[in-house]
Amino acid sequence: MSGYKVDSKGYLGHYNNKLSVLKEGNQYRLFGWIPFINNTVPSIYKTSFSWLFNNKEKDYDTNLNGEERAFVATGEMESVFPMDIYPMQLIKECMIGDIEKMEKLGIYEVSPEDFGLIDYSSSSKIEAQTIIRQGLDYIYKETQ
Amino acid sequence: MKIREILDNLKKPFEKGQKLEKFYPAFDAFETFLFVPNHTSKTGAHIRDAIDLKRVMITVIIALMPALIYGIYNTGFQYLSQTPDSFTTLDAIIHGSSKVIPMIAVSYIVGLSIEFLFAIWRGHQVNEGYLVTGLLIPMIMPVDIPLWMVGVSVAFAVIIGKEAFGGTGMNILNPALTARAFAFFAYPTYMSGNQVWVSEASNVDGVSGETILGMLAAGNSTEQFGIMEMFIGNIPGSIAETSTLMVLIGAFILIYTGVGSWRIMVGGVLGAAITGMLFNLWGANALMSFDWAQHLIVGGFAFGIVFMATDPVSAAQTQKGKWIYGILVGILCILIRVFNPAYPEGVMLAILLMNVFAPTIDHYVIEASVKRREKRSLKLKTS
Repeated sequence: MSGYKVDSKGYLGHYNNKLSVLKEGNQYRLFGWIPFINNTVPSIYKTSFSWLFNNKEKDYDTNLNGEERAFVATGEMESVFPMDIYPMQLIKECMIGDIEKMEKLGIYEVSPEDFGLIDYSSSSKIEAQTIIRQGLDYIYKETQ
Repeated sequence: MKIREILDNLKKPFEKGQKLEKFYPAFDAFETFLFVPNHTSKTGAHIRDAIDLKRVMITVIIALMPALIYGIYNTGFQYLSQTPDSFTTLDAIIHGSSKVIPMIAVSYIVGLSIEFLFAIWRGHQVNEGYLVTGLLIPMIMPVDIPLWMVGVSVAFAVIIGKEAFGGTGMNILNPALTARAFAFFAYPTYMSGNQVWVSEASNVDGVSGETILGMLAAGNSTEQFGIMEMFIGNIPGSIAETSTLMVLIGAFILIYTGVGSWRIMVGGVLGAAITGMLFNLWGANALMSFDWAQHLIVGGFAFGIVFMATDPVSAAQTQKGKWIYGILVGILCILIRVFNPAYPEGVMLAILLMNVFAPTIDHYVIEASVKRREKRSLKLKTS
């Protein structure tokens, strides 16, 4: 669920072991935010009929399907996070940079990639993996 | 794509380094209203869910529609049934629309103007939260409230209730209920009593326009209302709160799409039902002996617990916390109804009070989890 972008003139490094080719989603969708429009874009919410057309081919591309917004705790983080950890609170502590609380909430048990599904499902389009990476880097820097 | 080309041309003066750069958030709001933007993922997961905040908010608005349409009809019905002339459903809807639609327009115009101003001032995007708040505010007001009061309440709720805390996602209290509470305490004569719940009641002689809870608090009999009327919503009250049936349709949409929290709704109903049953056994005053099941279908309880208590920003945010929060809203709502003769309806104050306590509930739920995890890791170390 994680990775970085290499464009057509780029190259792969020594540690890359998987290559996925995704359609670049840099197109606009007219009124694409209205529920029950663009049913082929998959979603964990049932605000479109995408679950009805399960055997139909899904329209995957790299479009964010929305713009980043103020964080609203719509509750999908807890429902997609498999560990016994409160993901939203951990992300918030990483943003604040409170190491003690990050440790208590279990920062040492996670890697950024664990937050891939949260990245995927976030309705506010929060970059959770980036935030966790920054949190871990911060701890590393402070404990040096 | 014609519209896209026009927009791209219009966008130029708003871009970085251009004349109207400051007003980019306002333009951006219109642009993203028309089109889902072409932003692509740069880091993290490269495929993203179709959901965004706009879609979440518009789903809530769709869920509100049945209650709103019935509310408009009921506004007309309550007024016309007091007049001697016969009338049709269409007449009721026309009269209701003439009352309710101006309120919605005022709420949106005032609220969105403030939101746009703040977005430009702070330089962030216009958030969609107000789309729901702006519709909720007129829906929970008495129909005869003057339009300027709606405007003042909206301005208070958006500026003091929301933007003062940092805008969407940061507010402690539900902004729609903040607006109602403001109007309730600032203009009490327009917000309670027996003249405000039926449209133009003060102009028609001999109107009995009290809400059922108001009648009970005043010691009057409520025999003229059957259970079916209470459930369908053919009773006086705030515009859209009366119909439990329509609220249930909304609740179904919210729960089915996954947008609203079923934990809060079920918790609230459980809390209110159990408290109601206990007071039924006690039965010291008219509101206490009022059947617990009827407590759930009269007044604003159903509307409040489905659309207000579930506001993701001001509610508890942990899953256990949501249960506790919901149950306490239910209990407090009935407690205020039963014990406080000044406020026959308790759901507004119950939700606002629990909004204040929601962060505390979350705090203790998380502390419990931290302690449990510490114990577990100690166990692992020793074994």
